[in-house]
Amino acid sequence: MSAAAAAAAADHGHDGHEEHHHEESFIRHYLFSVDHKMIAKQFLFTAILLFLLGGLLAVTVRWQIAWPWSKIPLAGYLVGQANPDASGMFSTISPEGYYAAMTMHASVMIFLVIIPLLVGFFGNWCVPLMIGAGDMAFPRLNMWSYWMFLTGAVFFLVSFFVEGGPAGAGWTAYPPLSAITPGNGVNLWALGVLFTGFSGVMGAVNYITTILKLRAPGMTLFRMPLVVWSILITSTLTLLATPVLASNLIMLFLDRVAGTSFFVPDGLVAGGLIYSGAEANAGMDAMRAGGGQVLMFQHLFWFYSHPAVYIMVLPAMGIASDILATFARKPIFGYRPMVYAMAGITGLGFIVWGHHMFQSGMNPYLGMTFMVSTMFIALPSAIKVFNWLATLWRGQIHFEVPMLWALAFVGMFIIGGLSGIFMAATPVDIHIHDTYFIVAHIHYVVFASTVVAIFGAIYFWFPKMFGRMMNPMLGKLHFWLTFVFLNGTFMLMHYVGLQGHPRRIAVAAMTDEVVKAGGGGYEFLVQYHWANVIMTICAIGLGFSQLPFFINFFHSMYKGKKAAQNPWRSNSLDWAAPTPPPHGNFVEPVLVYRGPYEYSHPDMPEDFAPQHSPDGSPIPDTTVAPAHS
Amino acid sequence: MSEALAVRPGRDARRALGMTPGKFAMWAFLASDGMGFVGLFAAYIATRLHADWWPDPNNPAVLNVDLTALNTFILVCSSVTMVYALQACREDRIRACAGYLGLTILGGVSFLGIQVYEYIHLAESGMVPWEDNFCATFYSLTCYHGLHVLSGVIYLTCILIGTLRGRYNSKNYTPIEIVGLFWHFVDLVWILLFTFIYLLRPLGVESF
Amino acid sequence: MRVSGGPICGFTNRGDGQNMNLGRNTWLGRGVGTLVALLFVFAGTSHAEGRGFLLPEAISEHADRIDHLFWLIFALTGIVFVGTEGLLLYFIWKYRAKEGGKAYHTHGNHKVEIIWTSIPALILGVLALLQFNLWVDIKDPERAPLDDPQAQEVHVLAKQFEWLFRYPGPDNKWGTEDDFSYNRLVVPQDRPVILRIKSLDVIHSLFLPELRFKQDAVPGMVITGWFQAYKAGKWEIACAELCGASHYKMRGEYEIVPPEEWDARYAEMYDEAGPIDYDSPTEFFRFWPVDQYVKALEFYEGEEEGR
Repeated sequence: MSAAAAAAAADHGHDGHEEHHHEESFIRHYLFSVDHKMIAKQFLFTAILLFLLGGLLAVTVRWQIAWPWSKIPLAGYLVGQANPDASGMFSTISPEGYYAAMTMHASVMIFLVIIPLLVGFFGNWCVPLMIGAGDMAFPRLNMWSYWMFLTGAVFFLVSFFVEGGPAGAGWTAYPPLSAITPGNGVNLWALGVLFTGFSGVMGAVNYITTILKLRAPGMTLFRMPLVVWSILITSTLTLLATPVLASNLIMLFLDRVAGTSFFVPDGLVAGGLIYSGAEANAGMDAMRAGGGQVLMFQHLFWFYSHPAVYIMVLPAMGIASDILATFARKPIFGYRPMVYAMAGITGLGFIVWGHHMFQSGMNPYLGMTFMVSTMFIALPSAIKVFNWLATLWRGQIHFEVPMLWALAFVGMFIIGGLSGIFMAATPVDIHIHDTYFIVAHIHYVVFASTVVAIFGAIYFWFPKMFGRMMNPMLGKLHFWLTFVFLNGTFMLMHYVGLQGHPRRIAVAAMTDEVVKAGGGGYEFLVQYHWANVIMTICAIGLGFSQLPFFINFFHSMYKGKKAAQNPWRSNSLDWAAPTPPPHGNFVEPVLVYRGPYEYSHPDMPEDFAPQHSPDGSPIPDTTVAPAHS
Repeated sequence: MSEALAVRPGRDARRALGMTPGKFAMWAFLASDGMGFVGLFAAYIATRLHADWWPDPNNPAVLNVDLTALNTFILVCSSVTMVYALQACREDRIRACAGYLGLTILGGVSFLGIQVYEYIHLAESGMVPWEDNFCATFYSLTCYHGLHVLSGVIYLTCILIGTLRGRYNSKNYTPIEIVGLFWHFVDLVWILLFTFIYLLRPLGVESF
Repeated sequence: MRVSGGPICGFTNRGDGQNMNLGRNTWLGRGVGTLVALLFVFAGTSHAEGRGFLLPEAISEHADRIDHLFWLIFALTGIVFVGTEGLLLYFIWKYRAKEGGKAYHTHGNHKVEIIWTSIPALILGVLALLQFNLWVDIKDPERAPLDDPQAQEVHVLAKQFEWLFRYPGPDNKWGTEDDFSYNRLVVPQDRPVILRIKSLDVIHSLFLPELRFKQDAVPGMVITGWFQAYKAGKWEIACAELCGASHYKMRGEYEIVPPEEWDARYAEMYDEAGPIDYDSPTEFFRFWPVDQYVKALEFYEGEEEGR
């Protein structure tokens, strides 16, 4: 298909792209750039803007639960299409608006923020630099990957403005609800996910080829930094899992627009009308043929979306490993076990999808096998945690801003990992499935671990990207505010979840005011309403905690202190390139002499030994190329 | 000096796996694309296994197996001409290569033509995608495959133009090899689809 | 140590290469400690009548067994949590960079890797083994006391956005004139209750927190679940699967009736509800006539036996 054609086309072009000395036009340089570093920045800026959108949607969701049907700032603009009465800066939302906000919060964060940041941004930024390559294997395919992603993002954004508002069937979009919801929201959602999926597959082909084929001489597989390993493994997951989601969404799309019944069973009655299964109701015409399998969607969906959880955490693990080793001035403890653990997660990751479906009515014995595989997928994560701890052991820990985030990553990942054991235990899962406990779990893994690692990585690689340091004072302010508020937001979710707080309810506590306003919620949740209020206040605080980051980021880009070539005195090859790296990355070809974690070697005068240094001593800065950022 | 710090020049990764990056990328893409077919195919099998009723595809009133068998034959032949095209290029017989590529494209185009004819014919007899799940799975799988054939034809045309312009020869034939990989993949998938959708009959159906 | 290639960090560099923030770690410790303390204080103060410390009260044997497993996992993960987070904080404090210090150079140790791989593997394996019986006891319809003469069967029908329950009536046979439907789940205490769960439109999920019971209601499927409560009382039913814009309103009530009051209560319910009018176009069962419903059940059970 098009990706294949582009891959081959890029293959022709590959030999030609070395001629980069000519002046590039603005459009060529900033818009249709084929330079992996510019594409990485495109992913970064797009995803950061969309991160704001996802955050506002999250606040909308939290606000509604804490103070039902009150006026919510900006909600009228965000999900106003789902509520005809909405207008102005402050507006109430309708239940449809609530579910749209909830669905789009998850979809935007997963498909447009975290996966593009980890894979599109870090993959693009780190892979060629860290393996000593001039660029990706297929620069033009790389460009197409970004534009496909942007197309997907546009589909998502457009859905906010169509009649009926964006999709409101949850990010999991379980049919028949998603198949029978009217409006174009779910259609645009499906198209958006499809396009970001194409983008992911293009990226994955590119990363795997680049990592396997373009390594610098001496860069054996087991001399690669763990970031590169994590991207290689993540790409394998993306490559094999994403097309299954694509085929699933194609079927959902056909169910919605072509009137097929892949996921519409017989005998559906919606809105007082017979929806499907004509022969069951002689004399009345059904709208659909029926005969579809509802659970089939869930199986195919989670076949992708469970690996997607690992797509969202493996690169974060790689990033944390590199930052921990750098600032503990110590080699990663158990490098090979770390790699094998990631590979183990990948292998097991393909056979655990059913643990999202324990209560879905699938055969309990099938559930049992999924339970066993799920129990054992906890093992590689445990190995990684122990190795991180052992990396800190007898280290020299420097509390620079990136290190604070990496340490927080380890601490928070432990919480997210341990709460996963409760859900892997099928009997306990009966009680906590689809409650706030799972909401807490996913946020501890995806926000408190992954986003925290992403922030660490931005602080870590910012000097290389823009040639300037970020302000550490603002960085620490950002860290501490985020750390406190994220725990305030997500820790209590475990508690209310165990008490039976179902997820995805627009109103939780059935207070007198709620009953007067039309009802909803549950009586037993009234006594936990204080927890929902605290969580919402912390969520708003978490939103404001990001202000120092945005100020710091954009201010330091232009006004920050000039950064040296290797400000963190790190070993990997990305620090061997000039700051910021020119097109083609390295001034002269690099040779690799050792692994990436040779810190504090007793035979060496310095506490680090760059990978490209023949005798292990630090190499003076290469000529700094003129900054073009 | 310990082992960790010793100089140990590594193998040149560019020659790893014994193929060019483009060829490797095509294999990776085919693995991915194959998973897309696996998804649709799994849906087809699950739907068919759970269905109360499934038509006998061999019945001429349902699907025209003879016509599709001819179509399958055409597609297999185009795979053979693809092999000849690569062989010709390797031996620097550029005009023969272009001729075989042309024949391959012709095979692909005829396949698509016959498939469109079949669709029109089926739609006239009331077999539209939303009729039942037999039709839904039939159209989704064959159409998804048909789009692959279409992209293959476009891709082959680009390569043919390159061949006519003298871009490929015995020293540079990888692009032809890569398009060949894609074309053989499409062919292979079709043989599976033909077997399962057209030939495999539901249990308990008497031959007519 | 000499800083090659510029200062480590723009702001905190004091020109001597010592640029770490000593003492930050105690902030981290205090932060986490305060949060945990706050959590426990809040949890304690909200300890309401009839509800457990972390879980709602349990009113069935299944619930008790689930709770035991929960507390076992809670203890195990609690130990791991305290151990790992404690080590993390201790290492952060103990191994903060010191003037002239040098980290210990090691690439790992096979023995400890094997130890900390095999011990968690063992624990996880035992944990998995412990659950098999409980899980199957709860979820496998074959282990449900279907033939128990004491068992009360109820058909649960989920639709946007309410729960409806159907009883076989005084004759205790399905598909007869005296079947009736009721808008609350009322079942006897100390007797097995068999639920046949189906949905009319989209996926719902029947969630009875005090019974630790949860089962999706999937359109096109009839799913069997069962429980036996040992305590009488009234509680709420939740829908745990997003089912549309009014999902948050899909609240139900369930009531466990003491065994001695059950017969009188059942007769009362029957009188209150009256028989189902299958011909009424507004009646939802019109779309699922009783013979088809029974056929679906038979088909489902037949499939089970064939497994």
